Amino acid sequence: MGDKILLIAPRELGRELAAQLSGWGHISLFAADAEEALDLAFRHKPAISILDDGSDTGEALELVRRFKAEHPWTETIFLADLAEIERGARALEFGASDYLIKPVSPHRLGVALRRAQDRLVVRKKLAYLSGHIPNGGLPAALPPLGEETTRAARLYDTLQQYQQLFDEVPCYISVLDHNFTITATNRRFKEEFGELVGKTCHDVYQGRCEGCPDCPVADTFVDGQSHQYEQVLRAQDGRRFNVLTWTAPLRDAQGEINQVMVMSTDITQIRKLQDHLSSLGMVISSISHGVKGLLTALDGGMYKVRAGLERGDMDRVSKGWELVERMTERIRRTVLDILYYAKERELDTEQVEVAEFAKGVAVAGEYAAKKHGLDFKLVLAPDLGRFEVDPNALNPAMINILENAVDACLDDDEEKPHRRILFQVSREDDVLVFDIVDNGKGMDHETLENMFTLFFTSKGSAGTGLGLFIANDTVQQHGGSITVDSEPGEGSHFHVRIPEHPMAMPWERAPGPLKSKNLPF
Amino acid sequence: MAKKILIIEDEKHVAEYLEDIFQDQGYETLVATGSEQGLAMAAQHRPDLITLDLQMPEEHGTRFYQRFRKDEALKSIPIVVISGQYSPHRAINPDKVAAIVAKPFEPAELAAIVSKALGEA
Repeated sequence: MGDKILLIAPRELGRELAAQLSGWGHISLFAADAEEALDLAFRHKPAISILDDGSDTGEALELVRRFKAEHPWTETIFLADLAEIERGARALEFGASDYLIKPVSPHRLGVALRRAQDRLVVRKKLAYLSGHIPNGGLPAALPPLGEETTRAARLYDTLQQYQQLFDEVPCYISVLDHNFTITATNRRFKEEFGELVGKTCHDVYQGRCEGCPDCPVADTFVDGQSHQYEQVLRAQDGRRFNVLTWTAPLRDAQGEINQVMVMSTDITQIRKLQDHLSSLGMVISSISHGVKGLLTALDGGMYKVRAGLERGDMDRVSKGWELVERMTERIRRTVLDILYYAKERELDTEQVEVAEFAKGVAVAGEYAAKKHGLDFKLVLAPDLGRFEVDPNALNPAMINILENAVDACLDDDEEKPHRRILFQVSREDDVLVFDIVDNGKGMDHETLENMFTLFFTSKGSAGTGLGLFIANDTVQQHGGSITVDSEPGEGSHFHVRIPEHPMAMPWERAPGPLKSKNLPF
Repeated sequence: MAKKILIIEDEKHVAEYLEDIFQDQGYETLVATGSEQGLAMAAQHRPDLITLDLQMPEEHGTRFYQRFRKDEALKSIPIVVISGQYSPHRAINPDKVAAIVAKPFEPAELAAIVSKALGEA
């Protein structure tokens, strides 16, 4: 529906404007002078008046002022000559809502009309909010454009700004009443958690029927203070957010706390980064401790060599050199483990000849064992066939277990006639089975429990706790498992099972209790 | 008579290294692999100096240190703390130990520190 628009202009311009306005569906009223204009305004209550500075109204600016005073619900658009442009600015001071420079193009006229209409809508809402008019109705008696209306305008602006702030602030905000029922939520909250007004917070956040212990909202109701806490929220789609939450009391006109505002900032990314950093810190601290131990032991070996050479004590040189070799080997492995650990990798499987694969692993194990005078035996079952594994991942994993067996023999302080390692590969239908058995120092309960834990080591400062963790991780990536049986002083038996089809893996079977007499040598 | 040094160190290669260094300087050495054993050996053998590794997984070196300090008969024995950490445990008062040596260490430097702690330098 069009608006009533009062034109106060010379005839010719008035006709042009009226034609344009009726084209847009508006109803034009025409006044040639000030008296007629005020009379028409009084009778027809036009929404907008367009007042030409060149009309026969005496002082046009004075008419603008009178119009605003007597017809505050009419928006005035002032038309000025380019040469008198400052009169347009003056018109605004007198209460016009806009001014246009003549000649007026239809486009600019349209823009000015729309702005005037928008202002009217806002002013009507304001008047409603400040109690001047009933909802939706036009004012029966026009309120004066006084201080009160200005206050209401400010209030309206403030409310709009707060609503926008409430919705746009990068936090999840909810408001809770005394029963912990959600009474309001902001847009971001609704987007992630849904329309939850009317539900209780403990139901929504924590999935509880009753309130939570140490509820910070309850604390805020009691002490009127803001409380902070960290919690995990579950979004509609099941995602979880780590949030840092603040509470703030909301008070009524009497100053009583009637609601509490809960503001939560998403710190999931920060938490992830912190976890990553702390795990990185752990890695560095553990590795640095292990590497220092290895370097100190390596120093010990070099010291022996040097002192032996100085004194012509070849026995000492030989012992020192053996230690240097062992420590260099351990450092090499540690570095390779670190490099492997630092690289996230997907399995890249291929069909391999199991016997060939096993021999490749055995060569490295045998080299490590023979170097230190240990017996090494490889037992391959017949018809091992082909199997799908990632040889580049599984090979170092199996070597790691073998080298661990070598270390277990070398670190054993008990006198034993033969120190030996058995590496046996067999197949149970679709499951590839590796058994690595040594008669070294064995493991106590604590070591057995923790041996696959990252950074756990029983080798004092000579281990980093990476090797078996990575070996286990690789076997698990293949859908397999490692079970271990061990007795302190008697040795250990690692039993590795890798299924052909990971989903078909039967529950892992622990090897039988190990006694040294059962060792299959 | 040669002076006796008690080495409290759980890592056998490091203990052997320390023994080598000290024996080459003409000292007699004893090795304990944990704090309980260390206390017992200190009481039994009355060493002239003790080197203490702070990072022993089962029996932390600080526990030895605290009990050692409370023992009237032992607490006058100088202690050289050997630590893999840059800053040793806060339980250790740097003023009450003869020296704190970080791993890895220079053998000549360690020998000089020990000699000084024994009042030889």
